[in-house]
Amino acid sequence: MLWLALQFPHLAIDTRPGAETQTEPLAISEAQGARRIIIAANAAARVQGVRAGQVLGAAQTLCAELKTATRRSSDEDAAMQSLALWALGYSSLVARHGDDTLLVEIGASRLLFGNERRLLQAIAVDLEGDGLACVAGLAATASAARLFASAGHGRIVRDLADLREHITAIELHHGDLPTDTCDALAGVGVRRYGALLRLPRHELARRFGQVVPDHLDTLLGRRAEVIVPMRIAERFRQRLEWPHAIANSMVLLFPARRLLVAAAHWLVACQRSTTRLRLAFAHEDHPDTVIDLGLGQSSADREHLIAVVRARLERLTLPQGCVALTLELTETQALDAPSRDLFVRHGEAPEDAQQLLDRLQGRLGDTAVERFVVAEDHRPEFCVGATHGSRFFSRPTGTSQEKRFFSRPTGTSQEKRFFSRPTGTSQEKHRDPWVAPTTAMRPMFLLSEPQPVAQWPSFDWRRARLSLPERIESGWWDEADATRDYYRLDQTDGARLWVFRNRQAPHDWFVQGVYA
Amino acid sequence: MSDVPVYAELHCLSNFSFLRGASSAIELFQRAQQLGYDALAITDDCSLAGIVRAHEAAEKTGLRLIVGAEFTLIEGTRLVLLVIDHGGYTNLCRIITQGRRAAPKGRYRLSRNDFSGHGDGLIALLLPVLSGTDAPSIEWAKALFGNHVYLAIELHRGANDDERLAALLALAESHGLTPVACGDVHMHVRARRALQDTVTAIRLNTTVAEAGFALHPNGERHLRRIDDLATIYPRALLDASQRIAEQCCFSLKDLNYQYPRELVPAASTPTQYLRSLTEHGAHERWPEGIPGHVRSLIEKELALIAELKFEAFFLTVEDIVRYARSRDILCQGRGSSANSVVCFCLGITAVDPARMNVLFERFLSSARGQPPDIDVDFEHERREEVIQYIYAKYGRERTALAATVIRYRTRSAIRDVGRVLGLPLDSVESFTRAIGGWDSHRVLETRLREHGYDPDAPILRKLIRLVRQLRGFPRHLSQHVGGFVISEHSLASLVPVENAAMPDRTIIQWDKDDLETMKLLKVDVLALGMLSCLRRCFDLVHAQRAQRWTLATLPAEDPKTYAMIQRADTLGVFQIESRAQMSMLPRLKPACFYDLVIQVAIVRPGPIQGGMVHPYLRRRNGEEAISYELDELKPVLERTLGVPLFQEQVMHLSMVAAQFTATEADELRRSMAAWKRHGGLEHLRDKLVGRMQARGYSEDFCSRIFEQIKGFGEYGFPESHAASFAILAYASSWLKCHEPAAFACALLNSLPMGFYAPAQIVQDVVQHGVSVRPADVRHSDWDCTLEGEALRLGLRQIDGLPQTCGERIMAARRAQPFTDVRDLVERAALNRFEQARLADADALRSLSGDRHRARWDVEALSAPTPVFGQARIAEESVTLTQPSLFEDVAADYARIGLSLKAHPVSLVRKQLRTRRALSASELGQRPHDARVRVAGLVTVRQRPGTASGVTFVTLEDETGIVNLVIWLRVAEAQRRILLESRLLGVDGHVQRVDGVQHVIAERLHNYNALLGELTTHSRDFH
Repeated sequence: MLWLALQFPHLAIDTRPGAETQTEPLAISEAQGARRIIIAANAAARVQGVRAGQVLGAAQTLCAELKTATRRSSDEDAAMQSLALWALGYSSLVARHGDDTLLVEIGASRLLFGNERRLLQAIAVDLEGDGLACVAGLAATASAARLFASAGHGRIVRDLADLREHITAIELHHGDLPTDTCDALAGVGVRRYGALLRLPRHELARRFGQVVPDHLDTLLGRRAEVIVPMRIAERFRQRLEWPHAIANSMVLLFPARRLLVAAAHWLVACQRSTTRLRLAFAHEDHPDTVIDLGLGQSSADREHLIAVVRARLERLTLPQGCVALTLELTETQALDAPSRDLFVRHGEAPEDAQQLLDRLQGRLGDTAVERFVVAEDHRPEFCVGATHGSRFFSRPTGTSQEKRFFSRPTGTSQEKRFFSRPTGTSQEKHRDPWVAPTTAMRPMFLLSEPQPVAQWPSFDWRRARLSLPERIESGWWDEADATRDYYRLDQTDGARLWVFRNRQAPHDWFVQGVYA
Repeated sequence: MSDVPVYAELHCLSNFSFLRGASSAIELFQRAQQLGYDALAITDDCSLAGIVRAHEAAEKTGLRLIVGAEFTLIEGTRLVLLVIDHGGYTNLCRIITQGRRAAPKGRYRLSRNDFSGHGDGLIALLLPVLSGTDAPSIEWAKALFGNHVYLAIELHRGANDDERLAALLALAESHGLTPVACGDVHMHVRARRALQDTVTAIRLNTTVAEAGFALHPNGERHLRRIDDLATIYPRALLDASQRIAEQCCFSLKDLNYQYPRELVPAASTPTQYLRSLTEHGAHERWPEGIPGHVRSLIEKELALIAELKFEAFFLTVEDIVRYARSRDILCQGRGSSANSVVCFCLGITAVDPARMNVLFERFLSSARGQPPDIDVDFEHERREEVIQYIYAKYGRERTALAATVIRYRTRSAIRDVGRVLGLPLDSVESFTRAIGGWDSHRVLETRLREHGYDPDAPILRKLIRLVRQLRGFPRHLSQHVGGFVISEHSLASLVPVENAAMPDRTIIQWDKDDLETMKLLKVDVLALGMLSCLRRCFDLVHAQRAQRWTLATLPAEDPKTYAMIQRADTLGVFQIESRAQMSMLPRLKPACFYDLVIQVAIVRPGPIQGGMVHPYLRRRNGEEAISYELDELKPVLERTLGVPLFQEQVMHLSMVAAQFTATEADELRRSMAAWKRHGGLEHLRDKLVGRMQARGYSEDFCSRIFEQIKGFGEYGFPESHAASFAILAYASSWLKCHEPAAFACALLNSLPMGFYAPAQIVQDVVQHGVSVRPADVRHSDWDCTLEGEALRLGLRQIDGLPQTCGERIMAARRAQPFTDVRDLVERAALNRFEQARLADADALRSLSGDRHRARWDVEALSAPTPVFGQARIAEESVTLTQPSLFEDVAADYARIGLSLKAHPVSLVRKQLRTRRALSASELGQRPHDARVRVAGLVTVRQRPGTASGVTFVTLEDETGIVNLVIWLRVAEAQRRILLESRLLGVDGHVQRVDGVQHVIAERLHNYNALLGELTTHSRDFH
């Protein structure tokens, strides 16, 4: 066996395209207890002394203009998953170790590539294209390979017998021993593998547990190591995000390519092919641009997939820059499975509503299916809306900062919040029972945007009788502050309108809705 | 009935309904007065926390305040209670106390039953919800409040106000209630709508965008114009508000607080009893007879106390102090009245008035009419005993801590507003750092741009506007550090009492400003670490020399002690140990007690910002003639050579030079304490400077005096405080001078306190010739101890070792000395963690060997021994590498924060020599202005606010310390080196003035690499 360990120590930064090379110092932080700890920093931040492991406050003292972002473990996990799928292209035995390390057994596959050098070259070329910082170790045991990678030794030790002399100078904390064991060993003056190997096993085990001699044995190939090979996800859906909007659709081919390569790896790894995939381009303040691509025939070939997507991208005009891309293989099949029908037939397993919706939308088109949502907002035009897919209503636009705040994350959890309020504190008892508008007083039909009365076809002041107005003043936070007085107006044609005038411009009247 | 509609607002929340009300009491009152309201009720949510401020606002505006509160009961009933008379006020306090005490801090819980028996003197305004619960609410209220029940009608231009009004009027009619118009006011003007929405979202822990219908639909909940109200409400409803207001004739001025009386024996009066205690104390203080001038002072003070009826206050403090003394708890009084002869006789202070050559201006004047101010500091570890004594003596009904109102500061306001505007958490934090503590709009904009924000972005404009409004708003009540309120009668009839966060603590709803306004007795029971240290030191000396010192009996005016102080050899002593104080000592050269009083007070923002320090020093050194602007100031300023240094002098000066009355001078004092928070010194400036100039003072003098008043700000240092601190500074200096080992021992056992870490304290005592022995399980107690004239470090120095472990070791060792490590581990029942800590700290050396061997030995003990419990297992003998000296020192620093084996810098001295760096002692040989390179461990980094961007760094090596001055230019250019270096090298030049030596840094070098993994610790203040 010959194990290649690939460690990606910089994943938190590297999974954010452009973050490493941008000129603004950036650090990724994570909450650990009450403190925020730096997980990784880009080159500009490292120059100023920001390092992984620092407390955020200390880092900000060193680098006042440090921008920080919260760690997205799911992105890192997705990246590792994708890398693992990629590695499966080189070996049938791939395992993940910890958060940032891949183990690839290349002893068997080097023959396929002719020789080891060629194989390693192929791997290196792929990795370079990915732009992920990586340290590698190659050794006869998986844990020695990991140790070399972690210690940054970059050694190749093919022969078990040679391992011992190559690890003596390496410090213990690079290996897999628990931290407190390393600390205890430091207490007796042992900091490197050489000193550890000189101590008698029995006495070591008695003091520091069987874990220590076991670790040494595993390292040196005297003891088998348990390695859990990769499990493959059941559905393929991956997302890539980047900090600056990309407007050029051909530039988008690069992230798309990365996702497609991962998808192809996935298809190969799970012996499936795809007939339909979906690309969702996310924008800062515009609904996602979603492209559903049906393939003429099912395919698992990455060049074919890339060709199809490239062709589509050439014709694509995006409404604005794109900040994230999601690729989903919406339909896959085992290499020769039958295709499914639109509606579930009697006797078949029932689908959940979401799946049905997805399929309806997939078949009938994006806009053909709408969902009805109710939102709590005093401004009537924001109260009720229809939504396509996972978007609700579009808010008025403000600054970019606001936009980010108002663009709702996709997914259903957000949606639920509109139907049932999040549980508030006990203080919620103060909520005035009179605050919520009585729905009975509201017209049945609300216009999505108020219309000036002049544009209302049959508007007529003649029978209008102004009652006491209802006053609505709300929404200052999103540049659409409404300060209005509402009236119910009966029309000569029998209709009853809900109109308002703006308190800032009392002569401008608008129709908001029509009573049934 | 006149044609002009009248109105009194009966339902109005101030910002003391935390995170609901969006205006302060004074804003509400000023607005209501402008609008011509008849009266304004402040009805905070089950609270009277803001009522004293409302009372002051009412007095200021001349608009009548109606005291009340709003309630939401667990049955759903909502109502407002208004106070008719004194009895009603008492009932209201009791109801609020009941509700607040029944719920965790910050909340309340009340049911209708809780009101039983407390209905008298109150008017109830029911806030109907137009559902089935209204009828039972009304019936309950009628049964309890009789005729004093009204139906509040609150219309806010909702969707169906017409129908609502009709329904409410019908409800009132059917139950025979009088309806009345109310506003449910949350803010003084409509423009606060955004802030009101913001605080609502903060309260509900959501964002404004997601708060939905929890926000009010419009901004009508403000103080509306009466004309507008007249278009909404029928005239009768408005008239009713005025009729109800007229019934409420209670004023907070009617409250009658009484001091506790039980301290006075039945047969005597408070005056007689205070006199007898004073006489008794005087005879103890002056066994050879009371000096004549002291006698006359006693008579004068007792007469004044009797005139103002403050006997009970002095007796209360005396009782607490007597208790502390009976338990051997060291204490010392301070505050404006603490250093009177009476207090000296009563044992409240140890400052002997006869020892000071000048009498105190005590400002216990009849005109001031305010209770005297005495704070008592106790040993910090034993203050709780005193607190429990007070609770036990007077009972919880009559004793509670004062509240402290926690207010929004810039940072907390940014954080909360940013969150509810939906800004990402990371942005809010970096934003807070970027603009925290801004002071002007211009600065804010610059700072924002520097940090890459666009200050014109709408979201930032909103944020800034809201933060400005929110700053200073009360956020919640917390407990005062130690201010006790004690009353003759139940406190709950005077002010509501609620739960504090700490279990078994209750606080009243008023803070210290409220207490001062309401003239309630407050005794500050404070904690002071130095008192613990002094008591320990007295005990150590007593055990060693059979000499029992007390603060009052330590030899006074000892020349050796003053010589030490003049050398700035004051590491560890009270107050005069900071770097700023130390650099002043050789220039001021304190030679008597009063000099120490001045020394303590002069290194403060007040005198520094007022530019008083240098004139004083020049005059003291005879470089400048002592002059008084006008002769009339001589009595005021004579003792400080014509330079005002104390808060009392500024007040006195205002009375003499600007002819302020005692009341005006007191207003000045209060404004001095508050201007940082509220501003408002400008009108006093005009008055003070104007009157002084009119009386012949130069403009320059006047503006310097005023600058100093501003500088005093919150740090105002009264002479009597300085005297109380000076006696502790003197006592600690005397002990350091004459009993250095005992003093260092007591100091180490009282940490954390003061400026210095154990490493510096130990190095200092070693340099004073005391031998220090390491922590060792065979010799050390938990605390540090004295072994003859040597100091033995205690096990407490070992980082992370629990105290119980130290106690187990001591107990086992008392039974029998330890034979080996196994014996220790078994008899002291040490767990694995404790064994490892002891081994790593080198505390097992005398039982086992070096720390590597010791750890090897203890690790073997923690493994389960098979079958035969005591059987020793034959083991292969192993050779462990011995720790090198460098490793040993590094491990010492890591585990106990200091090393007795060597100073880390001495280990790298050779490398430093090749870099041409001088040691601290060599530096002392170099002349003024010489160019030098020095290096040492960074022990303190400090950037004081008063020093305009200068960073002060203290370096330490094996020969002493070096003080660096780093100007902003250097600090900015080499920021990273400055912040990251543990071993710092500095190129610069020596500055030596009046025996004070600094190195002015020009270039910094990071020598951390020389130290390897050795961890050191610096105290950084920014």
